Amino acid sequence: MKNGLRCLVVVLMAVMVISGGAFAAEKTLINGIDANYPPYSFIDKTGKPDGLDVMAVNWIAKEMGFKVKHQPTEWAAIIPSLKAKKIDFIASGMSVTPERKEQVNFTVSYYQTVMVLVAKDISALTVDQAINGNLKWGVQRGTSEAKWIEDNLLKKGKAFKLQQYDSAPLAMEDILNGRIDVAAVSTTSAEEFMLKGMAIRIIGKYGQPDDETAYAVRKEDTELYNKLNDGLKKLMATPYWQELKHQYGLR
Amino acid sequence: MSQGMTAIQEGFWYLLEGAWVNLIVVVGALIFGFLLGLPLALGQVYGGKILRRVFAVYVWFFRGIPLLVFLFLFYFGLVAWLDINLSAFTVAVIVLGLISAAYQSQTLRGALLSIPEGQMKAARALGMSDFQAIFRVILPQSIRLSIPGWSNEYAILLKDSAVTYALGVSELMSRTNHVASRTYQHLYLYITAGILFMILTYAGTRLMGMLQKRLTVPGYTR
Amino acid sequence: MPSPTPVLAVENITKTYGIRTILDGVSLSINRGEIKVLIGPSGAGKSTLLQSINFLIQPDSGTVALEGQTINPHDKKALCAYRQQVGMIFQDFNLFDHLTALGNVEIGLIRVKHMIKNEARDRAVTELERVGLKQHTAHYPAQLSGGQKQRVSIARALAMEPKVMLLDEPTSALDPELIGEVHSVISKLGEAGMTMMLATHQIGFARHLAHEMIFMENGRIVEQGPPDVILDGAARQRTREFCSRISGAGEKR
Repeated sequence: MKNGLRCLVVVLMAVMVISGGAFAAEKTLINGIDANYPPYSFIDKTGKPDGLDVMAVNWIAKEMGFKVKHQPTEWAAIIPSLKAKKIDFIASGMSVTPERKEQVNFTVSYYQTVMVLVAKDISALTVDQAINGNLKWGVQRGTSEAKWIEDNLLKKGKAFKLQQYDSAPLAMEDILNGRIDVAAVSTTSAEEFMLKGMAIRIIGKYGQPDDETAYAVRKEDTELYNKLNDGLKKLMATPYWQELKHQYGLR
Repeated sequence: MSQGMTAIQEGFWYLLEGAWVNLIVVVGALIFGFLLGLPLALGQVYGGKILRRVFAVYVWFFRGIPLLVFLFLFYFGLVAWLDINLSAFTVAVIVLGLISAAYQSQTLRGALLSIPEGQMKAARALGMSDFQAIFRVILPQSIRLSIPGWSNEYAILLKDSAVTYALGVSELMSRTNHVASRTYQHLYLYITAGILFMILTYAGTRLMGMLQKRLTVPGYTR
Repeated sequence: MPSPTPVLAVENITKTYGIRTILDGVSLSINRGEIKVLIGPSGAGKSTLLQSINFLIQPDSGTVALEGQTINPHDKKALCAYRQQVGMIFQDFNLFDHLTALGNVEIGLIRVKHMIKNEARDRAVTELERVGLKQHTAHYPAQLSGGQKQRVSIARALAMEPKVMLLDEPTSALDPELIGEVHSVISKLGEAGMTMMLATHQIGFARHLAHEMIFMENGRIVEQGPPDVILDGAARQRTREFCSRISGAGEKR
């Protein structure tokens, strides 16, 4: 076992030596995004990152004088990625939760996310039926809503089944496919889906308190924290912020 | 229907670039896996007792752990713990290569063992060192026998490479998700991804077939 | 006249596999230009003896000396140098299947003797001509008959310019009609003065070729002497029985 580990490390070192040159370039800060989370962050037609958070961070980077790159990252692994320094911060519609606060620092909140249940547009389900019935719920894995639903509904004895998805759009697909009855998403996402012509409707809030949305930074990285925090405050004081929100369908 | 086609059209180059990433990851892993698998195989066949045991443990270890677990273990565990800067792409190549080495070593090992003992004896009788005998006589024959195994390994690696999207490698699977999340045309886009993967598999196995034909020695059928 | 140093001297070689003794203290020597033929029933240890002589089989004890120099089989370099000087012909040819006839003969010249490619090629072609295979240089083993394969393997050994050749039943894997071509190549070698030690069941051929015949049984040399003596007037009952049983002892010359 010990030999295997040493072998691993040797191989690693060899690769580092070989590819070492590639890392000598100027330091660009990396924003980890969920590229499947429109309108906050997604990939546009030309294959480039786009979205409210992407544009906002670009503005902040210019204002505060740093280079930034938006790196699509698997959402369920995004905080480990941050802590492993694979990315430098997360600006991707992330909700502030007590658990996350233990892991990372959050900037000021720039948006209040209202969580709702959606169902097929022809569905007559009410929130009460959804919570107390024997139905199937969908939610994106690793999100604040997934955690809240487990802690506050399932562990309190509700009977519905919770199906976890890699992304919110996949949960939407399964609503249309009839594999789940309802899904918990932010109003922002829900409106985005409806705007794209998906046959869904919002049936109402299911009790989760409104989420604050903020950027996440490594705890020890105070310099970057200050830059992002100050930049974000500046941005929100400009008319451009209102434009951005309007452009991406946020109120 | 037309919305689906539009989504495919718009995303096509983006997806194609992703397929290219898969190909590079696979070819890199195949080469890395071969370079590592070869000494592993040789050690298992010709090595001493301890070496054989250590290598057998390596093979057991890397064949026994699911790829995704290993990717996470390596990317968020080892690489982060050692505090070195390796991109998700590099880690994907290394991890797939490490696993492929275990499988390739088994293919090669089988091929090495299938070469009749007389070949080694004849080489030694000519005055070749064991090293020469292995590299000039045994390996050229074993490698020919291993090509069908590689063809197989390529197809498996290609499919495995789709899993590396979990690290954020910008390959076909993750890109398909990106386009689908924007356009909501999941069915059409996954079909497109599936077809691209099939084309890659087909092209690769054909290439291996051609290589095998080129290297074939008349009447050499073992 | 003092006897010359033998080309090859084998002293007291033993080999056991588990409880089976294959070689039980075999000693023999061969002088320059001599041809010695090993005969005896299957399992007598002829093949093991020949392979032990160049350490393809590691004997348990005993020594081998080439021109008076004792070989240390654990000195890899010395062992390789020694094997170059001892040509080995196997029962089932053991040609390198991935190489042409030419490649088979060349490889030792290039990789072991470090000859440059053109020279090695010329030399290999010459050797293949010598065994009558000029037209077959580009053929792979699978495209050759058994007799042709064995002749390629003889050319491969000859190219290394060995001081002595060990032939381990060179025709026993061949169809009867192919034996003649291989025998004639070996006979010519003998006429040219090659020192050879040959194990065979072809008694007629052995009688014609050998300077001395060695009868082995149960891992020991039972009797040795000139062919006529061994084949026609062997002192021991077992030798006589064996010789009469096998191919009617062959005709007298």
